[in-house]
Amino acid sequence: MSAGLVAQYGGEIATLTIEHLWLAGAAVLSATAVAVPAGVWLARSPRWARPVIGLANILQTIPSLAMFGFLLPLPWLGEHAARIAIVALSAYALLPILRNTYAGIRGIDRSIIEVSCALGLTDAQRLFKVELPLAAPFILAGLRTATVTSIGIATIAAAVGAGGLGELIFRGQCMSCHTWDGYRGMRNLLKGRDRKGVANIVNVLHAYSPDSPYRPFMPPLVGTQSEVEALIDYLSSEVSTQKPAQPKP
Amino acid sequence: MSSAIEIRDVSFANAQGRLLLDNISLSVEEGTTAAILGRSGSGKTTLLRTLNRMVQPTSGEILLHGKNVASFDLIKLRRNMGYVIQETGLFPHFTVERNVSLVLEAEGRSRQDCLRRSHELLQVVGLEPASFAKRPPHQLSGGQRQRVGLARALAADPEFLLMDEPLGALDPLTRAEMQDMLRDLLSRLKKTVLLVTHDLDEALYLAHRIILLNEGKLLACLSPTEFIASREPLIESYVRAFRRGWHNAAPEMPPPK
Repeated sequence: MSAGLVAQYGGEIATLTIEHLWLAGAAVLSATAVAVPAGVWLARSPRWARPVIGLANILQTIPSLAMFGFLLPLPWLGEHAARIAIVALSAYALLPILRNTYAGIRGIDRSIIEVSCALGLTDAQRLFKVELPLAAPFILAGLRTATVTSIGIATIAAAVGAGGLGELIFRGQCMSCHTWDGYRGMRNLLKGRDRKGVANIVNVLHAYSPDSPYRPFMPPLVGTQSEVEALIDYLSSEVSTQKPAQPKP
Repeated sequence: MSSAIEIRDVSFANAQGRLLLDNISLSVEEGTTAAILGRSGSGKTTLLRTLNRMVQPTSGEILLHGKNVASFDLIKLRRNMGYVIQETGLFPHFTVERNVSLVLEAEGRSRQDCLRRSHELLQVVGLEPASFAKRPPHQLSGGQRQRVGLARALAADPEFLLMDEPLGALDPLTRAEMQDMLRDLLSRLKKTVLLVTHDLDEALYLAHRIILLNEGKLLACLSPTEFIASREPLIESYVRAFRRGWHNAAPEMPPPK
């Protein structure tokens, strides 16, 4: 059974996993490129810390599904679902990295900073030889949080078509709602039917009643008549490309 | 002898407008040690920090060999002034030898050069390089840490040495050993030294000049003998604070009832 599953879905799962990791990885890298320098800057001009970290906090509170939606109509971003996904995921990865970089550098013993200045280290030497090494555990902890969050939220990116493992989840979720046997059940149900046959099934689903044999907790299809027509067109074109199931002799 | 450090009418008010240094003028001869004494909050540390421009005076000027500190390149100025503080400020992520040689590293000296100089300095401050060079600072005792801090301050062979209560946190015996080491070292190295301390005995033992501050004002800048002989009431009371246990100025503690 499980060997069959791997044979059937293994390739797809592998592709989607790579896509998923690419989305999350690209987002964390670009967020790091912005947030670490920003954190260093905040540590040097602390009066900006509250507003900037506050802004990152606000970004964090936007629900991810809404964030993907907000980015859809933007000119360059909207063209490519992966761009939307990476920008949105970066926005979520900013806060943990920014906050930890800031806190890590501010948390260094004052006497150490004072001595590095007084010994005549330049700003860059102080940063690379003293501040960043000492803040490294905090910065890495921030990176870890950002990575975990990104991998989680990248699932939602499938909602705008960016791919990733979320695709499997969304597909399964929609299918399980509208059929009693998942995606394959739906396909088997439609197999060998002409447009009229498909329309019958959709109309049954649409006109849900407690007596229907379909899942009792399934909501009726919503939408206007023209939307229902469009769905019927889509489904019948989908099954028309497949051979009707041959009845076994 | 010429004055290596000359402080002219220096005042400093902090961001809240409180006057921490009030019109201070004094000079320190080349190759001598001056100890700065005074209560906590009297401006000792602030005065010290105006030298390496960690603090910018509100008015007045500070001259090194007649040249205003403000006209020096900041990094060069600071590398020419060793800096030692009570908390040592050793870098916890570096070994002892790297702590000492960081300034040399920052100057772009070769690794070989850094190590050689660092071991040489550890020897100078009385730490055997073979057993101390590779240790992290947290494995050292308070006195050993101060020795490393001193070695680090001397690394770039600065002309000046600024010390802010370097021995303040040590027990009396360790402190006495460190004072012996410093006295020997300073007389050999001929640095111009400013030493902030709370301990009059330490000041008398190490310094050629005693500077006494009170509420940001200069009360005295005298030689040790002049200082203890002074009849100035504030100076006298400062000296008496250290002497009363020894000269029966105060009665013995009464026995418990």
